[in-house]
Amino acid sequence: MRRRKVAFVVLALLGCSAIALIPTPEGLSRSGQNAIAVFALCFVLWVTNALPLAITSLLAIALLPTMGAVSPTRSFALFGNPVVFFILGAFILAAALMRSGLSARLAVAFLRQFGRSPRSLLAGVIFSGGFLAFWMPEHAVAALLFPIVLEIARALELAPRRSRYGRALFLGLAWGAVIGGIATFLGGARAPLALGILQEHYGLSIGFLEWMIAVAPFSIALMVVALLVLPWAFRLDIDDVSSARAALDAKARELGPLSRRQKGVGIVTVLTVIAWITGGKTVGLASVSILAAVALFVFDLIDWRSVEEYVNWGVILMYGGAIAVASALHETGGARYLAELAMTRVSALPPFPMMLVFAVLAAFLTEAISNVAAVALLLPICFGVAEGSGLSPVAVVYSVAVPAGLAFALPMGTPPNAIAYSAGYYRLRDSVAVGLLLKLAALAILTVVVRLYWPILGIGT
Amino acid sequence: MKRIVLILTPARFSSSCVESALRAASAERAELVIVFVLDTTISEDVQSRLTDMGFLGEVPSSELLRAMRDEQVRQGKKELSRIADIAAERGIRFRTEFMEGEFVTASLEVATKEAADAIFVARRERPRLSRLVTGSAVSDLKDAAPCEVHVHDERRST
Repeated sequence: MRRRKVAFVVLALLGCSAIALIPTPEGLSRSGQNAIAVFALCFVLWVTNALPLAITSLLAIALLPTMGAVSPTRSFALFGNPVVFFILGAFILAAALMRSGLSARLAVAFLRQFGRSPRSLLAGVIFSGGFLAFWMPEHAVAALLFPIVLEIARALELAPRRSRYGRALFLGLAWGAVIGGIATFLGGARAPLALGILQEHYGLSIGFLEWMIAVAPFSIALMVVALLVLPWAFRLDIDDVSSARAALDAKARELGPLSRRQKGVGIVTVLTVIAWITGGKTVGLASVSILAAVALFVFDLIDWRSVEEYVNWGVILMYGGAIAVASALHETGGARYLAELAMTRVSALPPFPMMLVFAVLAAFLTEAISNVAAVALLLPICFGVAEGSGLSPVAVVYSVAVPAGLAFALPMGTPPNAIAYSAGYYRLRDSVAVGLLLKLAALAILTVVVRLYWPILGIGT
Repeated sequence: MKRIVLILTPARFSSSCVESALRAASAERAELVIVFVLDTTISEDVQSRLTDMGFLGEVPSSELLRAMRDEQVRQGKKELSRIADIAAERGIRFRTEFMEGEFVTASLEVATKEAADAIFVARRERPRLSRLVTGSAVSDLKDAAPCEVHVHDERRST
């Protein structure tokens, strides 16, 4: 494994050097060529995971000025993009939700409303994962729900690999979190990353509520589709879930009464979301996010040690680096050149089919690589393709960032899938077959959304 | 007396593999060593995804790993006991063993220790491209094993 990783790093470096050393093609500047060389290196490393994503980003930040693609000041300044600070604050808020136990309490309370029949319990797993992922990262939601769903599976005595209900339940756990994660800027950092790249390229922005109005209805519709697809695909093989209900009741008793810390974190979270919605565009999402993080410390709702235990700071490196690569590609003309090279035919399409092409590309690329990497790799090129086509950059962001979150089939696509798969209740073929079906359903719904709903909101041309 | 080692892991399961090992042990009057390897690479892989892709810290990923491990231990013990019951019913001499570690290393260790005549193992169902890019632990085991390795693809059985 280690040898393969080294081989991929060598391949990435060779590819990067080869692109940088060939004569500069007509229509491309020298700095654009170097930006493409760094982009190619990131492409190989992000796709193969030969280095941690954040380290690849860090390498890119250093290589961009070293190779003369952008100045050192410009390259390192991109770490200061407001989106990086928005993500930072959002992760601290999520850490407080987890540390206080409020997120687990919400999950159990939500699930207890649903456990009357097998189908209703499955709905509970999908919707609790989905709605929690509206407000905290989908990976954290999956990790949080995993032990609870395991307890349900044990209470129901579901046999790993054999129980059809077990398969549906664990796929529901992964897919609920994944689908819910696209609805707001908090479910996953790919939407904020896309927003950061949009701001750097065009100085445009998308509001918290604006995004939610555009995407949450699609997300909820998709959760309903998942709830229809899973029982249809696996023909639920149990009739009674009273033992699961008893396990959830016991879990609720174990959690005890609502603590002062949980109440405090709940109030700060609600106020933060209100502030994002009402003042996000004027004072900036990042400012609200940072103020919320500070409030958690002021009211003694979290300490620094806990933040360090719950957040991996590589997140800052990843997003700073991804924004830097995308910006370098745009500013040097490299993105436009790549767009002409790779998607000449697509650039001639009218806006609606062009958005669908972007959506399909993002939806399938995200199955094989991290969805953040999918956005970081696709968005700069799609911006280049869309230039001069009449399609607005904001529409490009929606058509790439939304489907980039929808990884259903493979465990490597996104951590919720890997977490659910690790329980051993379903096999790869289950998630591939039914996941692809859900993917097609998602693209069909997205087509309707792109054609009929988003134009009402002014998203398109 | 011949000795056949049947290796089970949380990620690799094939009923045809189990059945073939039982039949081979019965036909050759061999002792069947049923080993469940709690493959740590699976949980390490999930943990690295959670920290490298999900950017969660040490505590949530450790809590998740604990839950994952408990479940795998529970499933492993249950599976060992189920196969042991079948072996006993068929009058096959058997032993069970529970190991924790990296799949190839643990499998080789048990094969050497038991002086196995044959190893029966299931191969995880994965896309061919993924096998090509990241390699196959079962192929590594086949290359390094001191005895014959019978591989059963997961896809062919339930």
